[in-house]
Amino acid sequence: MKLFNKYDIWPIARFNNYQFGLLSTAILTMSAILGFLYLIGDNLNIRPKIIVAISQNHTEQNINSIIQLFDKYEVKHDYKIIPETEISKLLIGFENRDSISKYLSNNENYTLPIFIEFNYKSYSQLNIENILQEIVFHKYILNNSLGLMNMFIYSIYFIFLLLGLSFCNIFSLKLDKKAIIIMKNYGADKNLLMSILFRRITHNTLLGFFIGWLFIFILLHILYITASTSSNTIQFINLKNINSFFYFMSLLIMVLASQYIIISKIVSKYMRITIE
Amino acid sequence: MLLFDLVQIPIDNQLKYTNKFSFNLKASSIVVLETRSLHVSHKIADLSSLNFFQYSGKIKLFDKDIKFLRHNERENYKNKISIGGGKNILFHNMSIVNNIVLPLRIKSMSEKALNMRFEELILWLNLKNIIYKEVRNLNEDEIHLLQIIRAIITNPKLLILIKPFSINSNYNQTILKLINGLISYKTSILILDNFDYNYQGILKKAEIIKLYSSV
Repeated sequence: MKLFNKYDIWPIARFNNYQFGLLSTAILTMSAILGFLYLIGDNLNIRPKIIVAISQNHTEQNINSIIQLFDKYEVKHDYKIIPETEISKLLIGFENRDSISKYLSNNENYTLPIFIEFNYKSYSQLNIENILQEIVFHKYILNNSLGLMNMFIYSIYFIFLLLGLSFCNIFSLKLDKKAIIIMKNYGADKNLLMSILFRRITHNTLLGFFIGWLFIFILLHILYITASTSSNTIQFINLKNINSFFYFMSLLIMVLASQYIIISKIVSKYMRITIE
Repeated sequence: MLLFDLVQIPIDNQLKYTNKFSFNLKASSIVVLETRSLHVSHKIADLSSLNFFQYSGKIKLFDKDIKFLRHNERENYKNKISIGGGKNILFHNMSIVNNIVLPLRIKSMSEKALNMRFEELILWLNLKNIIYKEVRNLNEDEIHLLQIIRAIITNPKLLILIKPFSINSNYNQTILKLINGLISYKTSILILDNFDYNYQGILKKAEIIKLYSSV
């Protein structure tokens, strides 16, 4: 059975009933991604930092030699050497706090390491690991966990998303009332109708979702070429980190579930029989 | 099979009721119920097929009062009843074949059995010239005939036909052939019409009840 067959065998799952639904899913996905990027754009692009800790126990590894190295590779404004007074603050943000504590406390002939801060984007773009290949160093990624304020903004964002979804579904998922009633007259129960519609809902959601994602994907990649987008945003849209994968999965489930609930309610309404 | 005993049905947005009327449709028989309006015919069809439950009086289907049917009994009985004509329109975006076999697909019949049943019917009624058309290109008589065919494809025990014949239709003979054939297959037929056609002349075995004085 072809889902897009003009002569679909099920009248209620005809494609023309759902074209608008598909479009609205795509638009919703695009706005959800853009909304997410707008809300956490700072976190994605600015807040994550990479701290490189370089031990000064080795003779060639001191501030001057490292600055010379960076000059040689033209790393001019993309790093910041953290002053000794600010090092204790860093500990709060490190992902692996224990390892840096050990690093600071367990070394014999203790010499304070040099801490150099890089922006996540510049670290990968300038290929710092390659520049520092001759040097013994430890890499730490700053923990970018959400603050309370961020959590609050997220909650508001998801409430708006849910409201948007409900409105989209109510206006776009127009079921063929006559078809449902006729199918009911011929003995179709709610389970059969929902199983037929579920294929359409899933297909619609996946396709709409993919179109929405693809549009933003292309847009961000074009912007990336012109250097307006950071590598983190690109990693987010490329689904390369677990957080973005989780975000897209939850968005997909939300869209699917909301469509299923609305359709289930409409089908129940059309199938209701009043016994008096 | 189907008994209406002193039944009243709401009309005009439930403010008015019809007068009381009764009829008894026995197994393998035909009853022609001539009502004053098509609206009342539809209501009787909906009541008989368990799709409408607003009435007073007593209605018995397969010897059971429809008010006291359990959910599974109701679903089981519904599978034995079909309505031909009326509100069960054909879908324009589906082929005629898919329209006709829709009730069988709902009953999860296999595609092979479904095709066999369809071909059997088409050969019997000689309808090859219609089935390749598109629904939107059919005339009213053809649509009406196909609605009846869709109703009988499930081999119902009780068939309700709403205005099956029309004056000047080319398919009256086909419908008559179909009705006579179904009677021999032990189907009970209830015909609902509003005085347009002379049933006395063509259906000699039918019991004709005129409701114009009471409804």
